[in-house]
Amino acid sequence: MKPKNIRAGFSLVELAVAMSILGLVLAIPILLLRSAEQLQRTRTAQAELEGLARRTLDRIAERLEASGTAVIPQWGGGPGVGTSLVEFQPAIGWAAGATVWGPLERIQLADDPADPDDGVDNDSDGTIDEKRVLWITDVGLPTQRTLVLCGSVRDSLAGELPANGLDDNGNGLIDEAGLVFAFDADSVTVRITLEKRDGSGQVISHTAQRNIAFRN
Amino acid sequence: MVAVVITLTGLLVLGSIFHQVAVRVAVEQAANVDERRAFYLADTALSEAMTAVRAGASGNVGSLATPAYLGGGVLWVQATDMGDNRTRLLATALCGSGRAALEAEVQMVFDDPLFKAVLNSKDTLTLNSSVMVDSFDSELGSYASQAVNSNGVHVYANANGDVASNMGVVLNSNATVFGDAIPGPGYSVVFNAGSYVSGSITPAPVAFSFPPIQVPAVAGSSPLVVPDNGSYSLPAGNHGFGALQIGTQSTLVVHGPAKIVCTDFSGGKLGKLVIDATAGPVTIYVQGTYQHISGFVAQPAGGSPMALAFMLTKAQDIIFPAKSKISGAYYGPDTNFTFTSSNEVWGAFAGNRIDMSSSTRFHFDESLMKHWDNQTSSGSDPLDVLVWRRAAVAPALLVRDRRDPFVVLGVAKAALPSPANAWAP
Repeated sequence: MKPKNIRAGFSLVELAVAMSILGLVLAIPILLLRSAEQLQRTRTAQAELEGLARRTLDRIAERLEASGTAVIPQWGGGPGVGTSLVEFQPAIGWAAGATVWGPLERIQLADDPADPDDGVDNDSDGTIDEKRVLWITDVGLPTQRTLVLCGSVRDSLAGELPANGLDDNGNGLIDEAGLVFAFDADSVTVRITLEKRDGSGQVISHTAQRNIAFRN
Repeated sequence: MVAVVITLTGLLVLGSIFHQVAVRVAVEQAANVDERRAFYLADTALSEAMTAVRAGASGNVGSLATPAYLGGGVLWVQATDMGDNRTRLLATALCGSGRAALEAEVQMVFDDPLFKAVLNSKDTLTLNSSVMVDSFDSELGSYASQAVNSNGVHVYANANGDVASNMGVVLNSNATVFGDAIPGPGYSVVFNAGSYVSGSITPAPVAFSFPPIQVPAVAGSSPLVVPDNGSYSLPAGNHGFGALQIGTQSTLVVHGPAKIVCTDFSGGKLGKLVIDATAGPVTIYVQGTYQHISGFVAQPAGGSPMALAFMLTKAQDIIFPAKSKISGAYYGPDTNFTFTSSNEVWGAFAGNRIDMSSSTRFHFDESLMKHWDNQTSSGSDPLDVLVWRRAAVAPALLVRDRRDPFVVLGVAKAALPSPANAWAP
């Protein structure tokens, strides 16, 4: 009797097919994972920018709404005039028939020391000449203190091209910076544009604005 | 199998990380939203307190022990009387994990009533010789029934017949005032022989503002002419006319509350303007010329107070003929009034300049101040916000303990009043 031909294991072809299927099974979730991760990074970066802009405007509003046009030297510029620096005094009480104003404070846009205004990405963060928003209390006093409200501020507001003398973004202001205060009769509109690169190197930006009414 | 387990584990780890990040962001965003909601609630609390102050209440709204409930949070306002009609309001609000406190100092500014004195002029006020001024209350009856007091040669009713000027007040010989004589800031009262003031002669701290007249927008331009010997009756409400003319010996009856807007006004000889103000006052806005012919009188209907006021917007000179008996109030910031011989007045006059013959008698109607107070004169908000600022939340425990406000304060939401029902003394 002729012995039976017994196959012990898989053939090469079978193994190749099996490995291919396994590769596909592993590759699809990895690709999906990478895609989701990319999306998550972008969304997270966008949310961070939105949160940062909102918190910054909240802090600015907290300080400015307790002030009044009488103690803001920059107030009264008229329509179409914006400024990236505002000095003010918050009201702290009432005495002898008049408002008692607190020490001078200032909110301004300033260069980021790590990336001076030279058209180069000195700090290699993917954005060029980004700015910071500074809040300076007790201006001119020995107790003067500077707090950084936020960084990642664009050189110019979204849609605006710098120094061309035009209102490129149609908001009524010309060549405005990434943080701009535009005064009205008894209020101020603050606009800010933040930008950064997400994990994939894509530049994302967010612009926010808030109208702040002076209470005093 | 191993590869699948590794992949699934990786997915699990990454998912967990994403979940934690999402939760952290959500918590941060919720905290931010709570802070904003607390701020808006505190602002609402301040508004409620200001409404309370306007209404004459203290401004206290709820308390730490029993706050008011609104929009998922709690709030209360602590009011402190600072004197001089000033109130400091400290509003605190808790919402979720958010806490906010706002402080405002407000002041109630009371304008003087339009008819605060029987005579009130911008120019120097000279009371001619033997002029007599006193007061009565037409709501309590006729002047004659109240004139039961005597002082020397004078019989008088009440001693609230104030005279005032934004400049000086001069009393010629034997002029008598049963009330105050109030000159303007920096001016004084000049007395001549036999003149007398029963009350104060202290100058006013500020000049009377003589607010502009707010003429109501009332449609209608046809004239209303009550023919000679005729009569006509106007119901309560607003009426607009061109000229309003009360003919000779005719009668016009007006039922209050009523506002009448006309161009010119003419009270004919022996004509009558009968005022029924039992339900409310009658105000006649005259945008043109006011003419008061001999024998014309305004008088109350039976049982009615004499609540009649003429608001004269035009700069003009009004001369009351001899023997005129004038009832009601006249307000003309740019009007010069002249009272000729044997005139007698029951009411009040406020104008640019007031002249009079000797022996003219003025009886201030005290009820006028109730009908034309400061609210109807200027129409402006009597509450001034002097200062507004963010304040520290107190007690500090509330800042450290960020749990649900109802837990922190130990109060039941259902048992808390709304802000409008939480006004406290």
